[in-house]
Amino acid sequence: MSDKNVSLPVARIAPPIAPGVPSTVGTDFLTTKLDALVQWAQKNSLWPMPFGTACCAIEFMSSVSSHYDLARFGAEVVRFSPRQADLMIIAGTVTDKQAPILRKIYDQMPEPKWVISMGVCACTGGFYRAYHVVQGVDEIVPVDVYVAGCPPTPENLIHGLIELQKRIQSGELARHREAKTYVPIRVGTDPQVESIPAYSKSVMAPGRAHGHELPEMADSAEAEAAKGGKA
Amino acid sequence: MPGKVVIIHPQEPTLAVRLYLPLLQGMALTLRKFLANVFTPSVRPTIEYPEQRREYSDRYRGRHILKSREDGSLKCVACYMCATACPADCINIVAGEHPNLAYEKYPTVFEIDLLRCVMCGFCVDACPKDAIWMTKDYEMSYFSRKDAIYGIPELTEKPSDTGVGGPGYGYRPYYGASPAKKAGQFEPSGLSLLPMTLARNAAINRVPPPPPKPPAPAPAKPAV
Amino acid sequence: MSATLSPASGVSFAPVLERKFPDGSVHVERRPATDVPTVVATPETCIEAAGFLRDDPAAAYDLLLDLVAVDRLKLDGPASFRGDERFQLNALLYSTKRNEHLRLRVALPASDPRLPTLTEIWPASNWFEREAWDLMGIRFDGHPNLTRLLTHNGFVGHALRKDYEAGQRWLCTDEDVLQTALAAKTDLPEDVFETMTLNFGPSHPSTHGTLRIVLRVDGERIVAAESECGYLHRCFEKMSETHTYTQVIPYTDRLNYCSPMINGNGYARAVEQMLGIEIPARAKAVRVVLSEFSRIMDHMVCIGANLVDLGGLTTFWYSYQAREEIYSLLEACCGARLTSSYARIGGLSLDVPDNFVEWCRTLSKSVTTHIGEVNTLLTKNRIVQKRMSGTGVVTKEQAIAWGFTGPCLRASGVGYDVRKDKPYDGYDEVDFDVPVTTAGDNYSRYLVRMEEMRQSLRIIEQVIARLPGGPVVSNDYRVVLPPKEMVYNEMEGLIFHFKNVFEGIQVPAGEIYSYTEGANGELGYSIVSDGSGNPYRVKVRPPCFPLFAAFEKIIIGGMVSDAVATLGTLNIIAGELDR
Repeated sequence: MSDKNVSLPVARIAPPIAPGVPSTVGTDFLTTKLDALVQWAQKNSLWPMPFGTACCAIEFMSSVSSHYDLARFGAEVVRFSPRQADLMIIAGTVTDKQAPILRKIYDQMPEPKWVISMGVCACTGGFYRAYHVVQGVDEIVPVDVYVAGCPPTPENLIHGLIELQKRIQSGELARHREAKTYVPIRVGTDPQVESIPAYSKSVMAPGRAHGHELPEMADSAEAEAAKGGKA
Repeated sequence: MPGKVVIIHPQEPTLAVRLYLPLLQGMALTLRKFLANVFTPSVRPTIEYPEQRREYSDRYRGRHILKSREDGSLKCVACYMCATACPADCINIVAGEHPNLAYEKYPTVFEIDLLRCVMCGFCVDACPKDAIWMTKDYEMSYFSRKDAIYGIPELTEKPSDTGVGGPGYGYRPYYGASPAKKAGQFEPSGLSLLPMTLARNAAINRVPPPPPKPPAPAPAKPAV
Repeated sequence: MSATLSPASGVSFAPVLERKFPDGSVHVERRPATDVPTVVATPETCIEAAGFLRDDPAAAYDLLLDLVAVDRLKLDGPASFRGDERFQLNALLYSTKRNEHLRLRVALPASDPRLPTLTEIWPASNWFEREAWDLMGIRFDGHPNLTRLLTHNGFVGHALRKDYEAGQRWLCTDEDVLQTALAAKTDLPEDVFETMTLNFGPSHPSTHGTLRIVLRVDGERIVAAESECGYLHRCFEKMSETHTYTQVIPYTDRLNYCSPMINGNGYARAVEQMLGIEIPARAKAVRVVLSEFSRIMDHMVCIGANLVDLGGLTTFWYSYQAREEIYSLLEACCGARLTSSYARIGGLSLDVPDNFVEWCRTLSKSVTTHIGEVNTLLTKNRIVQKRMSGTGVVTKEQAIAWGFTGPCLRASGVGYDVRKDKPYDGYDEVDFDVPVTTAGDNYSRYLVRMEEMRQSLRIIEQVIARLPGGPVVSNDYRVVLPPKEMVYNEMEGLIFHFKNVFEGIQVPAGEIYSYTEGANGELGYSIVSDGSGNPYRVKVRPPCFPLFAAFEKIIIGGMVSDAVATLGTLNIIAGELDR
């Protein structure tokens, strides 16, 4: 939000072509096919890093257990080490105290990486419009898929995962990410204490998502600059 | 008081336990499960989700729908009851004056932020007009937060909600308690047992009926 | 005041107290029969009073359950904030010898509220005092480490004070998070080659993502430890104050999310006690059945997850299968798998399905099978025994001093179970045993949980065998929503409906401490009402909180891997730990 933000490594997401594949030959037939192959491989071997904090983590455990079996989608290798994972599933409420940790873990994950925000607490803060709860993890990390529900059923999580796989395969996500630069809102700002304006129950205006401003993804460098200047 | 505090004494490990033999029992159990799963698909617990679906009850609290009148207009009269009852404050209503005087008010904006909604069903309980129900639809994942704010077009009930392959109705006002009872038939969860006249009289007098009395004590026996 | 004492006040040691404090500085307060008896002290006399309450054989309150701080700034009515006594600190006590609860109340001034620390008398008080300092700004003189506990170090102000806005957030930076007292002491010169500091959590699979322990290890042996919580502090208590009594129910589901039904039932019971209404027998029976199934679910996930941490994944699959089957029943009753929101003040939201009784019977058979499977895999498994026996030992005296309740207390040899000792909802009509072991180690806690699951099934069998008919909600329309027929067709029904939704349930002004047996121990709700539709103050007595507070003391001298086993058997659920 402010210029102080720069102390944080801003997450500029590289195009998710596999490392070692030079993008300069992207027009070639062979590379196109290789892209498709790489994307196919990526979508079918997502290694989740469950950032499970609360109730949603219990439902995440349900979705890896025998009734739902996330392994059917190639995502059974649950890695608690971020270095070995490429899909972060944020399952549960993220508090202000947890926020820097979440960011740190996200930064430790190697590219290409994706984020599923599972449950309304992670997506928007849910019904915790409270003094210690992050109002949506997109304040901190870019989110690819938001899964609603409190907590979402395992089916819903799997649905979100399938949607993500479709987008990985189609390359849509890659183009989307390439075009946009994500600016995290809060984490890593000047340690000098700064309060975040309170949001109240009564503020309800269309487009403001009921009392809380939606984080925007800057569409271009100019927009980003404008946003920075505005704040 | 029946029952008691029982002291469990952990058994002293027997020779078999010391020789790790009970591990074999565990392995046998696992092997049995494995073989059963391989050779009899019917015992597999796995629900192959996109193809198969778990059957949820008729009270399942999923995506909301707004019910319509017979003429196609929404039943909602924009009374803000659901928005008030919502603990997540995820319902946004803007009321307008309905051209049909009989309906008086209607919502010009009715938005539910499904990424705030905690699916508690309080909006359904609060609605005095039977206008908001829930479905059994749980597939709610979005690529942006704005996609998740459902307005009137998305919320209005569609034939696909209840048609073949659709999710079907979930939580609704006191209905759907059991599959045996048809939708549309009241099942006021025991409250109907109260004679309506009693309730009416009590309500008119503004005195709620007394809470149910504990079972009457046995007639006092003469002291022996 | 002491002259007004009557047998109805429920304090048997009142005469002794009167002799001990003839000036009346410590006296008994009159309370309604539903609430726990209360003794009032002043900041000057509270240490003496606390010492008396713990040591005098007529009182013998040896277990500190909770500290509840109340800010009376906006409280109206007879108990309102007058003069200079803005804050109240209530210590909730329990006597394991006499099976009695008690509240010790101290009024504190508006400016610089402070009192001497109670940690000398009840060691469990340590973290509760830190919490009271963090959220309410009450200082405890002589406290060993009076720092913020639940909120982060960048937080300004005290969130539960009435003049703090519910949505006011503060930035948290990396430096704020990583700082703990033990971590700061890393550079002690004499330590450099002897020990090392190991950070453990919060993002670690065995800390469930939300607990953090900083360890000083000598090789693999732990010589010092400091645990930290608050990574899931979701402000339940502040949120309760901004919602109506009914709207708090969904929040309670998310306290102990392994057994949500128990929390909602406990909360509804507390409010019902304040309202003085009796719920129908069927509602009570259904609450008991579903609570017991939830308890089984909770113990299953505890054992399963514990074994995952110890390296045995198989148990997890079997225990989750039982959970999934129970989920089906819960979903058929309330419409959601996990966050049930089933209880309502005055009963339940819906009647159970028609085939409830048969379903419970079938389910209890298959759950028995799953318990048997877990038993086969673990109980005589020598590897499990060796990992668990003799590690994480808590003696009986320690467990009481640290404020343990529930399975962990029973594993240390104290047979306190609210269901048995203070029966509610018809538990006194059911025949069940309270399993107790004496060793107090991890294996004992495992054995107690296994036996409790079997006892829960016994309870379920008995209750469904005579499940009463009739309604499942009270017909007091000041409290419950009228039936929809009335709302749609009659003016009076509509009026009650509107009042109920818009104004909320008008709970008479007062205060209560109500407690039930949660899966992890005594789950208490302290509620203060000012007569409006929103609770004035809700404080949960989280069973996990004293367990995790003691964790740093239990693991000293053990190996790091034993600490993991201990953390698993204590069954720390972050949702109710941090609230």
